[in-house]
Amino acid sequence: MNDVVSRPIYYEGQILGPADLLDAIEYARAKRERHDRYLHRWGIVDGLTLTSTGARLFVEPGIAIDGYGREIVVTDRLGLTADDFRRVQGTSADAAALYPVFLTSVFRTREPVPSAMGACAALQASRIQERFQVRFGNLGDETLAEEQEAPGLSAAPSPAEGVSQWLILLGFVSWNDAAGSFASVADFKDVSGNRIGRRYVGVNADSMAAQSGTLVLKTQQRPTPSNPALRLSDDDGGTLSFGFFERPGVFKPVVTVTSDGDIEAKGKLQGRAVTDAVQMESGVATDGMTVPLPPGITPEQLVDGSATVHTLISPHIDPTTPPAPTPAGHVWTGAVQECRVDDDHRLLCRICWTRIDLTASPPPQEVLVLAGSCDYLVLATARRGQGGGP
Amino acid sequence: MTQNMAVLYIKHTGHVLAAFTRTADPDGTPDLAAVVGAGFMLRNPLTHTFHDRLQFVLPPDVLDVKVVPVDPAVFVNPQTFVVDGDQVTRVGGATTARVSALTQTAIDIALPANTTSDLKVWAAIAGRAPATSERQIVAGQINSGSANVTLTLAILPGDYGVAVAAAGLPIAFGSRSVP
Repeated sequence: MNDVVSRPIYYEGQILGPADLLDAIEYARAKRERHDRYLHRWGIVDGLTLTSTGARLFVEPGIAIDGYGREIVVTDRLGLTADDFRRVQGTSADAAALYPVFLTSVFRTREPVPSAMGACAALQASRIQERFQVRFGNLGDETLAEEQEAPGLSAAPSPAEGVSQWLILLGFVSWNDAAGSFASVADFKDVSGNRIGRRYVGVNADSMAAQSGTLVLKTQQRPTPSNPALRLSDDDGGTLSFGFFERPGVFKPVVTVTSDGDIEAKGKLQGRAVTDAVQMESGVATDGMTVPLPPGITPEQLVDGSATVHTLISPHIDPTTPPAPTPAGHVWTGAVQECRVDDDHRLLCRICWTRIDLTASPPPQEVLVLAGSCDYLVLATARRGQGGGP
Repeated sequence: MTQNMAVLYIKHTGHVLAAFTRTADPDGTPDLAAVVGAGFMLRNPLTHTFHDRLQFVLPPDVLDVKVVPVDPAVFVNPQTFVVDGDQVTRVGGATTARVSALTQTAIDIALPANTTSDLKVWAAIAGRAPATSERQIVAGQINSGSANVTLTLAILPGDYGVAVAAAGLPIAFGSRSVP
């Protein structure tokens, strides 16, 4: 077939041969494969999970699309035995290693059946079975799946028969040499810091549009309350929300952007300060330390002048908490010796504590000058163009 | 006041030097560099028995910060507390480690009696401003069965203030001249 897409048509009285009918099938098959390759991205569509009972490894039913656009359908649970594994790995499998398990497409003609044209006619195949093959890979083969390159665009479909070399990674299995059985299965494996594992189909699209007025992106097909989701909705005049599904169909947003541009957040907003917004921090701090800055304001911004702070402090003297034990008839009084913020935004606060013996005349005194504490309030603004960027 | 506070403490011995709360993020671990800034300024208490005014500017690498449950007493005199696991406890008593000798090359830190277990010690040495900007920080350990340890340093002759922290004992301050 040449590179022009050619759609078969028929006319009244035409004598149809097998090639004419096959052209119609191949036209439809090529179109479907191009759709699956170019509008989508190859991978697992659904199912095809690995499970193990130890003695046997199972591939659960599911569907995948390979890099040629071939659809691979596993309708029944497939069981693999320890012998299947040994045939590939021998008897020297590394117990600590995870071996990749691949799925490939296999198109084969069904066993020929006698032609109805007479006893002298040859046996003819009248069906191609779109089957599959599950095979164990060697250690390191998992990277091959990501490195595969699909053939170029063609008007023709993939070969009508044969074994595809396209590998779809279903997961990994580890081997228990002593027991002669499968030890565990895994969906992913860390390879040099990269997470390699099951790849699912994707979509090649620049735009998506909902029909119900709500578009939802979820990290799981059946999300639990711990799986996040993103929802774009026409509700309430238009909202963009990040949140979780408390239960099926019940979305609980934690951050919402409204059509007015307001942001409603259940948690804290952190990061560099928004320009022209006033950030605030308050609390109690003691002598010698730098007064805490509001979230998003950094000491570097104070140094380079891209943020301005206004700091208000007042001595924090709590008469119910004296600096030392108080004998009966004695009282502690606190007087501020120093309370200021220096050029380095450092709090300097000292309290002169005096213990007075009220039972003596004249009352003797003990004096202590200690590090003191202050209530502080810091207001800060980041200047436009200097403090709000990422 | 919030349920938690943050304490700034000497990493080697756990002695608390400062405490603070933050309304915006009361439970988050603060950025050490942000609260130490140009250096934490440690100053000695003044009493009728010792009233030399000493100050030590400590860099962030000898300090650490931790969030612990609030204890109002820490805000009155933070230097009498140490970090103990996930909380702070008061260190009391008159026993402290002291400087038994200070030279241009070494500082000797001594206890009144032999310690029965290894004891971490830390010292800050600062020139008496404005005469000199010399500053040294040393850390080590008095071994079990000993009463002192000698730690090396390098300072010029002059008058110095010394702060000594020994694990489990109050911080001691003193003045020394190095000939």
